[in-house]
Amino acid sequence: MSFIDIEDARIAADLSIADLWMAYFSLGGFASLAAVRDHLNDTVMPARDHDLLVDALNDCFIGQGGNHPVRYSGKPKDQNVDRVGA
Amino acid sequence: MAQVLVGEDTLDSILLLVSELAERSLPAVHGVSVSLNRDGKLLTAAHSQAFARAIDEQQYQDRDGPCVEALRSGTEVRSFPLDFARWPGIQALSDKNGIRGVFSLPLMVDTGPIGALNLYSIETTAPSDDHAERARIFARHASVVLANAKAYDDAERHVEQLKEALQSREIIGQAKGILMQRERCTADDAFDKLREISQRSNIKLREVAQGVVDSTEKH
Repeated sequence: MSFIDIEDARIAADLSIADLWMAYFSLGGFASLAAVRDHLNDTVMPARDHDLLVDALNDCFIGQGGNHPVRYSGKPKDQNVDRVGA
Repeated sequence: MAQVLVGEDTLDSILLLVSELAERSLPAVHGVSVSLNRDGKLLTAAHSQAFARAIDEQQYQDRDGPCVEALRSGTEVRSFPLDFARWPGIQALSDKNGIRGVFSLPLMVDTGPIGALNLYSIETTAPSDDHAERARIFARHASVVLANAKAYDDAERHVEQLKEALQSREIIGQAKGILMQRERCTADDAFDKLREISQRSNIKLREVAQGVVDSTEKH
């Protein structure tokens, strides 16, 4: 199973939005919980932060026996990235 | 009472106070107990009389009874006279202590029923509407205290999670610093290297970072 859409991945990982934010924050993220929630609902977020959310999700899946099923944005870090479509 | 966050010791003391006040204030109530569901386990957090706790515990053992039903369903359970055909397990203890009726009221927090206030009576007649309403006031007080205790627990858990998150950020920051110096790269490139190692080895990022820090400290 692989995911492009991080909202789909979050649901599959059984993480609340708050849990995902905490994991993202643990990895060094600076965006607020509200910004993460908005991004999961399609608001643009810088690629760096989007990929950090992907890292948080992939770490969660490692804990569940997976191996990095969530795909990164593939954008340069200073570019904004929209939610990659499913 | 509603505005003070409550730790476990204080919670049990307050529930005991509620139990004792309920027994003194409500007519024909011979003993009061508070049943709680703590992490999936049923227990009696407070009791005004030892027999009330004993009858509760018989119900936990049987996994059935008026207080177990109130706690599970979130609805009031009244049994006057006590229906021993339905709950035979509590007959012996009830007979021994002269208990002829039970009124169990659920204690509700935001997520649903978390406990029950159990009023054991020597009467076979159900409480009047007025007495039942007075009992509900005690149940509401106990529910407010429990809701505060839950908020206290939630706050404690959040503090612990934040502490761990800050420690993780610290470790990742240290690992990035080590890689930046070693590889003469930017902070973003250093993080990318941690990510590459995580993907290659299928190890969590934080653990990869810890490994970088540990390997440097050994030298």
